[in-house]
Amino acid sequence: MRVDVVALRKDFGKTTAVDGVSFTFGSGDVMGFVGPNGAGKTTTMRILSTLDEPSGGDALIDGVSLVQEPEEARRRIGFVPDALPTHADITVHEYLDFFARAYGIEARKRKAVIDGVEEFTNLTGIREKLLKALSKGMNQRVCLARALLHDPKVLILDEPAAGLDPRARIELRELIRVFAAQGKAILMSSHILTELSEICTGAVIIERGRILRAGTLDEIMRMPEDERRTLVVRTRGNALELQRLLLELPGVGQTNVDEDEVTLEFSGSEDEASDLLGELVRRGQRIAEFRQQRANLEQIFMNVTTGGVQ
Amino acid sequence: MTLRERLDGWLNPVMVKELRQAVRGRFIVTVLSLSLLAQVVAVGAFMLTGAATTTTGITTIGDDTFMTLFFVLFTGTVLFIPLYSGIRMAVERSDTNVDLLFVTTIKPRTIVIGKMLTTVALTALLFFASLPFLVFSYVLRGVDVFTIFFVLTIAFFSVCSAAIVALFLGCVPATKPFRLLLGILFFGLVLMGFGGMAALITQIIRSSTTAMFLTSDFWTAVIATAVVVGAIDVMLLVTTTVIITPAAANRAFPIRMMISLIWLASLAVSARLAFKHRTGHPMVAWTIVQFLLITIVLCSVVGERERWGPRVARMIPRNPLKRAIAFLFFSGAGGGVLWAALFFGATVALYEVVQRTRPPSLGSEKILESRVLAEAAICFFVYLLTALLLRRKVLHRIPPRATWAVGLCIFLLVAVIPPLIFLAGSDKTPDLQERYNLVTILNPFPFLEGTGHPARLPILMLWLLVVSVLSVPWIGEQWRAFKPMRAREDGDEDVLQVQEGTAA
Repeated sequence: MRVDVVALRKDFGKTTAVDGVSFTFGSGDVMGFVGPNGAGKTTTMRILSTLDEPSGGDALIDGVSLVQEPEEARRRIGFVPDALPTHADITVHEYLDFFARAYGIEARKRKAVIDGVEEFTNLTGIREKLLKALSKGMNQRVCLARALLHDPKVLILDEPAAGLDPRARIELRELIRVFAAQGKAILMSSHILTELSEICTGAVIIERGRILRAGTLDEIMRMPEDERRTLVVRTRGNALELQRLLLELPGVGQTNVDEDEVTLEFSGSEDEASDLLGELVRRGQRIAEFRQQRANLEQIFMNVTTGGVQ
Repeated sequence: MTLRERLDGWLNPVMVKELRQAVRGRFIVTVLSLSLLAQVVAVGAFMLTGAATTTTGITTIGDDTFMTLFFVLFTGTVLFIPLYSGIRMAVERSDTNVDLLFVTTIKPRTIVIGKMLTTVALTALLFFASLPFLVFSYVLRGVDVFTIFFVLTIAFFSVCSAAIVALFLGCVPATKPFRLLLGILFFGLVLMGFGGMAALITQIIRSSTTAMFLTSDFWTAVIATAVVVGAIDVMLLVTTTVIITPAAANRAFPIRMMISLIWLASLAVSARLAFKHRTGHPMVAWTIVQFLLITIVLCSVVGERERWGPRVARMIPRNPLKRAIAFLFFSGAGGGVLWAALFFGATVALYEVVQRTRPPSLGSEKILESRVLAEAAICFFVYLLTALLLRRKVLHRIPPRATWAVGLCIFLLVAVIPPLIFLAGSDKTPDLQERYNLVTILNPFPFLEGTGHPARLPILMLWLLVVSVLSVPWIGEQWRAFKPMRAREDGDEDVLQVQEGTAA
């Protein structure tokens, strides 16, 4: 299973909400979809769920085009939107039964499918409870169960952790890990980047409808040549003297001293960082350790986005 | 697969869900309980106090009992079933719920049919629950079984029709205050209809004789009413389906197809009636109804898309003739304008043909001038086409879906307000009529009888010519963009663009 998003574009009148978005993910991948509010995340996810039509580009779900065969693509996708259901006077089991019917699951298989999904998502104990009596976390579980009924190969989750308490978040995280282990391809948007870093295998950072970064977490976190990086220098000598010297050198921004370590913001390529080390040694500094601090998703996000919307 | 499983597979998913919600909710249970309670009380009261004796000594309180029970049931169902259906539709019309349905493989028509079947089932539930009481009134004499079932059948279909209107109103994409206003208007109409039904039912029960049911006139009237109401119900159901269909779909197609079929079928029926009864009235009624329908479609057409997304492009035929027909019927402003022009023209032309040939069997009366019809058709057309032109060229901030409102404003400004000002400020001089004709030169629907400037038709035709000429490049551009998917892939890329917010 492989999802190829190719030059996806969506215009709303004169506003381009999604502008040439391309990325790829496959079986077992949990792809984080990150961006400020209004960046085009939900629009992209709605297009991938066949709810909206792209103005240009396409997405292929295992070779099936969303544009040319939306009905066929829909069978392979499970979508969990960012809002919970508002159906009144209906129990969890009846709700799932309704969607199983809506997905066209045959009568003879339906009961087994619903029972299986309820068990898998740990809903068996509350299957006779009314939806409106459930907590937000449980409702989110019901939404996940609903999206799993037709056994989709791709799961698209729009802000699934929004508003959940810590326990529900942990449970959700575990469920997503299980889905990935089952071989489902998962695209998940969230504003909680630390959490995404923990479960995602890759990420797409989007702003103003354009992709800023996309790839595996390793690829994303590897700084590009022209970006800022955080360097840590441990000295055998005087750290304050090293700090003074560093501030005289080109490319060095903010510095911070902690015992024998100086942490500095450096603007330049890896080659230039290596030149910086050479310069320090040439100037007689006794360097015990010189390393690049690995950026986390949050730092990358703050570095590459400007917070603008279309 | 067992029979039970097979039957289960045929059930409409929306109906199953809705019925489960209905029996679990308090609303239907309360209405049912109160209705039955009121009927028990009514029967008890009649049994204790209402015994009337005829000259033959036989008690006949059945008709009064039946009427009381019937009105208890009818009031409850005609008010609360549509209210319940409309509110449920409005609540579930929220984007989230509809989106959830459209990520499944369910079709919009399945949703609407499911809602309608739920309404029918709930109405049937209330009627069947009351049936023992209603049939009991037969035992009390004064009303026959056939009348009971006839009246109940009429009431049942009336409730279903009212619920279909409520479903339609529940899914109208409007703001909450506007929906509330529509709801109030609807219930005003229901109350008026209730009054009419009450009078009709009373008359049927009071004058109930088997002979009445044996006359062909009676059944002609019943069938004609059923056909008209049925056609309106079908139109509303199709429109409701179209409203909840995603904007990217070919939403105009079912509407234009339905209106075209109604145009043909009603023409056949009207012509048959005209010849049978030797009067031109059915043709006049047909023309007016068609004008109304085509104008409503035109109001929607002028706000439709001007480019087709892949979802519609997949369905565009490659054969040139089929493609030309599809252009008229598929979603799209250009094709829609041509469709409306074609049907306006055909309606006026057919009416004119009938007037000119005037078969002897049709009598010699002249009810409506073809000139007046032509003026009305051109009027609807030019005001809306001018609005479309203005919106595209000047009023860029106006959303396409509000084009009809621009047309209405132009009509008010040039055709309604000037005559009103004139009427308010002018003295009753001998040349009043002449001057009034002049200020209503752009309005084929003047407020005073017998008015009409001879230059109105030529002026409207000139205006039509100008807006048509100005619209030709716009329609031509759309025709060129109206290509099947593969042809697009071979050709230019930009035709794949979808103009958002303008989908029909």
